[in-house]
Parts: sequence; C-alpha cells; structure tokens
Amino acid sequence: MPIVVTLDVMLARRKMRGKELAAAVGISEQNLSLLRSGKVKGVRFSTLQHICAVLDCQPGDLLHFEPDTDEEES
Amino acid sequence: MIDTNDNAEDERRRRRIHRVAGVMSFCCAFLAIALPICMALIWGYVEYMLPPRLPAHLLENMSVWDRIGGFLLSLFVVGVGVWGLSSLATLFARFRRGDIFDVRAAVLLRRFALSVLVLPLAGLITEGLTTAWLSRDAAPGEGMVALSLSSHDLFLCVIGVLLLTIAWILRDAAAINEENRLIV
Repeated sequence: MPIVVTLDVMLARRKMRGKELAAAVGISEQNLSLLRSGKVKGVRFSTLQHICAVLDCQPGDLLHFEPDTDEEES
Repeated sequence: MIDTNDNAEDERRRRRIHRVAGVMSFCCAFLAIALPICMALIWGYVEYMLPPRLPAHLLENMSVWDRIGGFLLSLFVVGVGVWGLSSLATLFARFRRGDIFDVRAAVLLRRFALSVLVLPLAGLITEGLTTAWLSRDAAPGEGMVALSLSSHDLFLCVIGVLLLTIAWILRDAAAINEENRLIV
C-alpha cells in the first residue's frame, strides 16, 4: 500500500497511548488499531481533523506516500 | 447526552432477534435431521404412507430391497432439502449471535435459495430413478420411468430464483458495507 500511516511515530512523540487517543478522538480502539497498522481503506477528514487536533500535528505527519516501484516505472 | 429510550428500544430489538433467530435455527436444524428419518419411515411403512410422486400400483407388494432402494434413491432429493435447511439453520444461528449484515449471511441465504431452485429437478430425477427401480422386475415392455412436473415445482423454481437474486444483492451490499467499515 503506497500510503504509509506513521501515527505510531506521533503517538511516541506526544507520549500518548492508543487508548487515550481513541477516547479523545471518538473512535473505537479497534478502528484506531486498524488505522495504526495501515489496514484501513480510508480515513474521514473529520477523523483526521480530530487526530491532528489531539496530537497537535499536521496530516502530513501522520500519512506518508511511498510509491511502489512498479508505479514509478509506469 | 445518551438517549436512554433509544438504547432500551435497541436492546429490546436485539433480544427479540436473539429469541426468534434461536427458535428458527432450532426448527430448521430439527427439520434437517427429521427429513431423512421421516423418509425412512415412509419407505418402511409404505402401505400406510405413500412416498410422494410415485404411482400407487408400483407400491404394491414391495420387497425389502425395493424399500431400501427406494429410500436410498430418495436421499438424493432429501439431501438437497437437508443442505438447504442446514444452511438456513446456520444463517439463523448467525443472526442469533448478532452477525446479520455480512457476506457470510448472504452466502448462506444463497445456498438455501439454490436448494429451493434445485429441489424440483432433484425430485424429478429421483422420481424417474425410483420408478425405474421399482419396475425393474416387471415383464418386458412393462417397465416404466415416470416423470412429472406440477405447478408446485414451477412455483418453487420461481421462488428459488427470487431468493437467489435477493441473496446476490445482499452479498454485494454486505461487501460494500464491510469496505465502508474499514473507513475510520
């Protein structure tokens, strides 16, 4: 998956646990776990907004684009 | 603020689903088990309980092998019925657990629909094979293969196709729903 979720990095920087973030953002711990592991199909802007507000960061701090080598060649 | 009235209503609905689905699951499982037993009883006491779709004159003076063969051949159509009923029992068991709108439920409904659709054909084949079996010792030129289709069979086919279409739509809708659940 070209979109890499770097939420764990921000959580470590802010010294916050996933459980606390899930409660603050208003999503389930299961959904947050899926997001951290990059197994989600998408993120709503409202969710991204709340995460950025809680972690005091930008969306670019949470999401990183790494193109596949096949996509680069094409 | 949480609306306690809505929560109470949701809880009542869940309990109702749990109760009804449990009863239906039990009934379908019971029927799936009872069907072959009933068929065995019918063939065992054929003088009192005529097997369906068979000419009455073939059922006179039946030997043990006639009955055993008839029962074994009837397991073809009974097997289709058992498969459909066990799929339905599993479906209701999933409803009871709270797994209602998912792909697996749609697949189980599709299996039941297929069993309804195939049942008339299975009955037709069984009828032909059974009449051939029962008339195997008849004099040359008097053996018979009986095949019959009724409006009941055509009605079952129509219902089967309708259920199959519903199951197909539900499966795709459930797949869309599962995809949407992965959007946080």
